[in-house]
Amino acid sequence: MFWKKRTSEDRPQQMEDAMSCGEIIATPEAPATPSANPTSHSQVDQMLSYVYEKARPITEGKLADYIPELANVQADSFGIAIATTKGKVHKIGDADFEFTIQSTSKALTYCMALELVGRKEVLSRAGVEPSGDPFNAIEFSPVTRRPFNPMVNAGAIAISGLLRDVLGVEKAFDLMLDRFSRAAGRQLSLNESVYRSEAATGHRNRAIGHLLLSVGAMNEPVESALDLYFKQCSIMVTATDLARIGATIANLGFNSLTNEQVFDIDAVRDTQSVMFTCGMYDYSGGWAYEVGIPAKSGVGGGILGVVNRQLGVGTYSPRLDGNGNSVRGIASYRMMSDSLGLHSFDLTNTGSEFVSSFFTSDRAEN
Amino acid sequence: MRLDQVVLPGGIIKLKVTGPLDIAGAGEIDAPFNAISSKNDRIIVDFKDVTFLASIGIRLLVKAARNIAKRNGRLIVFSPTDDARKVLRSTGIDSIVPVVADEAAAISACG
Repeated sequence: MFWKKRTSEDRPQQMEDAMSCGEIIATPEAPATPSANPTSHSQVDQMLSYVYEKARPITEGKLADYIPELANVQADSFGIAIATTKGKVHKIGDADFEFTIQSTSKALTYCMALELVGRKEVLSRAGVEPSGDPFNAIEFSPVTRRPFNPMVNAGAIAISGLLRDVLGVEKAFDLMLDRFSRAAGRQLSLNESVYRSEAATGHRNRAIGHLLLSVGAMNEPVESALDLYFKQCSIMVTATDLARIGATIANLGFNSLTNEQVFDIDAVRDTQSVMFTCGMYDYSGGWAYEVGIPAKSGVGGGILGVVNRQLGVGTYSPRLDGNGNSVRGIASYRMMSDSLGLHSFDLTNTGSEFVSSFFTSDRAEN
Repeated sequence: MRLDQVVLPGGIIKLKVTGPLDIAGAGEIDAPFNAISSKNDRIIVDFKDVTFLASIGIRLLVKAARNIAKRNGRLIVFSPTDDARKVLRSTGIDSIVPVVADEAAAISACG
C-alpha cells in the first residue's frame, strides 16, 4: 500500500489550469510534504508514529494490582512493534521494555498442547466457546463440565495441567520457556519475584485448580500444575517479542529470524481460531467487531496480534480497562486495523486466493 | 491533505485529492467528500498526488462510489500512480470503483 510519489513535472498543464480556478474544500494544517522517494519502511514507520502519538495522550485505565509487582511498573510506558513474516521489524516507543507475559502465554501453551497431544485430548480439558465471563471466573460449561475456553484462567490452568502431565514436572517449564524463546527468536527469562508473588497470592487460581480436579479436567497433584501456570505467566517479554511471536504464528509456525519451525501448522490454525473468538477476555466480541484479527492480551499490559501469513503485532502499555485489556493497546490496534486493512472482513481483504483458483472456469465464462 | 473541486463542462465534478489518504487524511476529507458525492451523480477523482493509501481511505472511496451507483451515477478514479493502481487491483477495488489512466478517459467513462 505504499508507493513513490510522482514529481510535479508529471502533472499535465490542463490539470494545473483547472486547479487554478478550483475551489479548495479541505486544506491541511501543514502542507503534505511526502519525501521524494519514500520507501515502504518509512511509510510503515510514519503510520506507527501517527498511531503512537494519537494513543500516547490516553491515560485512562489502571495498573493491575492483584499482586504488588504488577502495580510496580512505569504506568506511562508505551511501545508498539510490527514484525513481518519475512523477519522485518518496525517499532516505536518502549517496544523493547520488558514486562510479564501473563495471559498472553495462554495462546502459546494452547498451541503446544495441541501439538503434543492433539485436538481430541485438548478439547477434553477445555472447550472453544467464548465464556462471556470475566477472565478469572470460576465457572465451567454446565454441559461439558469443562472450562469454556483455554484463553480464560480456568481453561489455561487445565492446559497447564495437561502440559505438566505430558512433559513431566521437572522439565515442563524449561521446555515451555524454550518454546516461547524460539517463537520470539531470543532467550526469554522468568521474573522470579512476580512468580513468587503470583504463587503466594493465587488463591482464586488454586480454587480453580481444585475445581478442575473435581470434574476430572486435571490430574493430581494440583499444586505442580498451578506452579507451572504461575511460572508461564511470569515470563518476561517485550512488545517486540510479542510481534515476533505473532509473526511466527502467522508464518505457519516458522520463525523467519532463526529459520526454525517452532509450532505445528495445524496447531497455529486452531490457536488463532481461539484467539479470534476468546482472546480479549470479555471484550472478545467487541474486538472481533472493531479490530478483527486473532489476538491475546495479558494483564501485564501486552497485546499479541496475528495477521495470518503476514504480520505479528505487539503492543505494551500497562494501564488496563475494566476487562483487563490495555487501553492504549486497544486504541492502537483500532487505528492500525483501519490503516493497514487488518480486519478479517475489511473491504481490501479478498480472502483466500486458493478459493478463487477453483472457480477459474466461472471467470472465463463471465 | 487537500481536496479541490472543479466543475467541468457537462456538470461533471472533478475532485483532486492531494497528500496521504491515511487515517488523518481520510478523516479530514471524509465529510466534504461525502457531501459532494451525496449531491452529484458524476464524479471523477484525480489520484495522481495521493501519496499514501490506507485501508480507511479506500473505504471512503468505495462508500462514495456505492452511494452514487444507487442513483445510477458514476465515480471514476483516474491517474493513480503505478503502485496505487497495483493496490487497487490486488484488493479487487477496481471492480467496484472504475480506475482509468487519465482525465479524458475518466470523463468518457462518466458518460
